[in-house]
Amino acid sequence: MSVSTLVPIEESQTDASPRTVRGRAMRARALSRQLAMAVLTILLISFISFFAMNHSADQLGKNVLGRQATRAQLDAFAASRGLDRPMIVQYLDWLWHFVGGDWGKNLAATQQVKPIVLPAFTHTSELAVITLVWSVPLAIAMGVAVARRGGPIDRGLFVVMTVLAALPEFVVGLTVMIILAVQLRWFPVSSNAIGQGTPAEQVKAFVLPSLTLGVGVVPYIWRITRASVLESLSAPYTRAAVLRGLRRHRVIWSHAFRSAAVPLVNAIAINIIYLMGGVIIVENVFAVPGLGRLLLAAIAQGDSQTALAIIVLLGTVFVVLGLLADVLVTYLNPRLRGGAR
Amino acid sequence: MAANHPELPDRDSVFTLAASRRSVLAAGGLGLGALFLAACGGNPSSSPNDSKASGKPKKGGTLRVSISDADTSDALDPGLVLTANAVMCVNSIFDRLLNIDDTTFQATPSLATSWTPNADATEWTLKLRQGVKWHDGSDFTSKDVAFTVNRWLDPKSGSSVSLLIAPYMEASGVTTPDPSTVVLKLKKPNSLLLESVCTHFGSGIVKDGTDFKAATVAGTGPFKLKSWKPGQGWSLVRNDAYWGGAPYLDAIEATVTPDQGAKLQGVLAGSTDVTDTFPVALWAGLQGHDNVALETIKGERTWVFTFDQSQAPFDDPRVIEAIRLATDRETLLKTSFQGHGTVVADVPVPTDSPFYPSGLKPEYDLAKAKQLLADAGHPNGLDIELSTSSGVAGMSDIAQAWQQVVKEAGINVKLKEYTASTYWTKAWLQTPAYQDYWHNNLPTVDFDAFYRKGASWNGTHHEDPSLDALAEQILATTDAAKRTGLMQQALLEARKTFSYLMPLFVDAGYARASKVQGLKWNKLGSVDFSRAWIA
Repeated sequence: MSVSTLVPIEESQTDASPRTVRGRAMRARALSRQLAMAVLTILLISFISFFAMNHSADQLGKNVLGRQATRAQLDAFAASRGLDRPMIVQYLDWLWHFVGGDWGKNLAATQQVKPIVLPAFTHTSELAVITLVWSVPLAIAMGVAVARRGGPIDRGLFVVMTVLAALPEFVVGLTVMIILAVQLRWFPVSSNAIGQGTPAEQVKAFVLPSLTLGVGVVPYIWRITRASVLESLSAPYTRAAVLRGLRRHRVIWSHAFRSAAVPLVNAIAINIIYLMGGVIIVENVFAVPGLGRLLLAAIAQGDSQTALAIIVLLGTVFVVLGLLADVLVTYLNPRLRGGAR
Repeated sequence: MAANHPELPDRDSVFTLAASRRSVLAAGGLGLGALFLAACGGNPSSSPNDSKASGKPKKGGTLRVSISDADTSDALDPGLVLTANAVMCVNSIFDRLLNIDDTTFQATPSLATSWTPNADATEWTLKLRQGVKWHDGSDFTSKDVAFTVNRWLDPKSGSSVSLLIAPYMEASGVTTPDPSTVVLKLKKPNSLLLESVCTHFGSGIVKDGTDFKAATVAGTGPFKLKSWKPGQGWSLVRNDAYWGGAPYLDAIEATVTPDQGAKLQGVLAGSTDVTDTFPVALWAGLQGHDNVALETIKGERTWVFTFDQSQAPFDDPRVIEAIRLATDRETLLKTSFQGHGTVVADVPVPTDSPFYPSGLKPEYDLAKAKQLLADAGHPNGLDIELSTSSGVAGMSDIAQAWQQVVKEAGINVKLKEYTASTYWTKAWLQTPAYQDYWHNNLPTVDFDAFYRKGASWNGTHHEDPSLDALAEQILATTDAAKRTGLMQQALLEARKTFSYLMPLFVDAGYARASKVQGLKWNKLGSVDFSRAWIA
C-alpha cells in the first residue's frame, strides 16, 4: 500500500541524502510524480464511474420519476439534466464545475450535492477517528504484551481474535445493539443523533457503531503488531541491544517496535481507508448518516453528481493518507531516507 | 400498480417505491437479522393484536415514527414522492381535493365540498371549501388548485399523477371562474376522474407558486413542517387552525432507520411508536409483546404474472387457461407469504370490493390443465422463462413458490433473474413472461394502464374491443350503481381474454406501540395521523 513502492529502486541507491540539494530535489521530483500519478488515478476512476452510471438516460429518469414515467416526462427529464448531450461533453462539464467548487445538484434535483456530502463526510470521519483512537492503542498494547510473553494467554487471545475477526459486522452490530441498547438501555438503538442532537446525545450515539467497528479493527492490528514485534524481537540487533545493557522497556519500544511499526503503519492506513469508505453495513444497522450509505444510494440510483463528488473526496483522502504513511515509514526506517547504503 | 403508484422496485414497505440500492444489504441483513431476532426476540405467540383500547382521546404528546423506506433524494413535492418516508410526511402536510374510501372508492369532501359533472361527464365543476388557510396564513383559493392541476399536466414537473389525468384533459381545460370554483373541461368523458386522481398519494394540493423548499413550503394539512432532513428524518407540529379540527398530537418526529432488524429493536425497546411496513419474515418478532401491536393492512397489493399473447405459446387461449388452472392459489399463498393475504381469481380487485364479480371463484384443476395443454399441442408440458428480480421485495418469493406449484401440471418455469434497477427497463414490458405488482385502484384506472387499446403498460399485447367499449361506457356513466354493475361485467370480460394471472392479494404489516390509538392506514397507502393520540 505504500506509495513509495512506486518510486524506482535506483533512486534510493544513489548518493541522495536529504541533506544535499540534490537529495532534496530528487525527493521533490519523486513526490510530485507520486502526486501526479495519484491525481491521474482519481481522474481515471471518476471518468469510468461517470460513464458506467450515465449510459442510460431512460433508466435514470425512471429511477427518479418512477417506472411508470411517460415518454414526455422522460424526455423533459433528460433535457433538464443535459443527458442528451454526448457523454464526454457531460463529463467535462461536470469536471469543469467540480474543480470550480460547484458540485452540482443531485439527480432528483432536490438539493445541492455539497451540503449533503460534506456533513456525511464529517460524520464518517468522526466515527473513524473515534474508533481508531481506542482500538489501535488497545490492539498495539495487547500485541506487544503477548509477543513478549507468549504462552497460553497468547494462544487463547489468538483464538478469540480470530473468532472476532470472522464475525460478520451486522451480527456484531445487532448483538451489541440488543445487549446495550434494548436490554440495558444504556445507549440509543439508532445513532441518527449524530449531527443533529445535543452534544450528550451525539456522544452516546457514537458508542455502539464505534464498538462494532472496533471489533473488526482490533484483531487485524493486533495480529500484525504481534507478528512484527515477534520478528524484530528475534532479530540480531535486539539481542545486541540487550547485551549492551539497555533496559527492557527501551529495547522493546525504541528498537524492536520501531522496526515493527513499518508494516503497522500500512495496516493502520488500510484500516482508515476501510473506515472511511467501507462501513456501509454498520451505517445501515445504526442509521449513522455517513458516507457509505450515501455512496451506495448514489451509485444504485445513478446519481453521478453525488457519487463522483464522494469518489473524488475519498480518493483525495486516500492519496493524502498514502503520503502521510510514506512520510511516517520513511522516518521510522532510515534506510528509506535516501542515505548512503 | 403502474398507473397510480410511481413504483420503483424493491421496498418491503407498503409503497415498494424507491430503487433497491439497499436491496443486497436488506436481503442479507434482513435474512440473518430475521433469524437472529427470532432466536433472541420474544416468543411468537398467536395472541390477538386488536388492542384497540377504548378511552377518550388525549391531547398532547409527540409521536415517534421509524421508517426504513427512505432516500436522500426524497422531496416535499407530492408528484415526486417515491418512498414511504416522503409519503408519510407529504400526506400529513397537504390535503387532497377529496378523500377516497379504500374499498368502495367513494369520495367524501376534503378541500372540495362538491363536485358536479355535466350530463356526459366531459366537464367537472368543483366547489372549494371556504375558510381554509395555508400554513403561512394565506387563503386557499381556486388559483392554488389550478396551479396544482397544471403541475400534474406538465411533463417538466414529472408528476406521477400525470398519467391519470393527461389522457383526459389539457392544461387549457382548467378554469377558475371565482376563488372558490374550479372547472375542469375534459377532452374525453371520465365520470371517475376525481376518484382516480385523489386515490393517488401524489395528488396533494399545493400552493400557487410554491418551490417545495423546506423553509417555505406550506400545505393545508393537519400538520405543519418543522424540519426536513432528506434521508435522515423530519418533524411536524400540529396545525391548530386545521379546517378538519386540530389533531390531538402535538408533534410527529420521524427518523430513518434503514435496517429492518434495527427498526424492530427500536419498537421493542420502546424508543419508537410507529413504523413503516415490515417484511413478512419479521412479523413473528413483533408478536407476543404487550407493549407492541402488529397491524395488518389487508390486501395491500396483488402480484401479477403477465404473458405476451402476441407470441407462442401464449397466443393460444387454452395455454393461458391451463396456466390458471394449474396454479394452486391457496398453497401459493401459504408458501410465499405464510398465508397473509387472500386468493383472487385473476381480477385486480380484492374479494371484499363491490366491483369483484359476484360468485367468481378461482379454479384449481390439474387434470383439466394437462388436458388443455395437450389439446394446444404441448402434450409433454410447457416451458416458460419468467423474468423476475430478487431485488424487488416479495417478487422472487412468489416466483419460486409458483414455479413449484405449477410443476405438477408439467409447466416448467425457468426464472430469469434481473437486478432491481434493470428489471423495470429491461424485463418489464420487454420479455414474454414477467412479473408485476398492482396496488388497489379503480378498475377503470387499471384498464387505462394495462388493458385498453393504446395502454402504455399492456405487456400482453392483446386488444379486446368489447372491453374498450365497456370501459368507455363506464367512464361516460354518471350513475354510480349502474357503473358498479358495468365494472363487474368489464372485469369478467378482461379476465376472459387477457392473459394476466393474478392469484392473490397480499397483506402488509407495520408495528404500533400499544399506547398509540386512532392511527389510520388504508389500503391505498394513505397514513392518517390527524386523529391519532397517545394513551
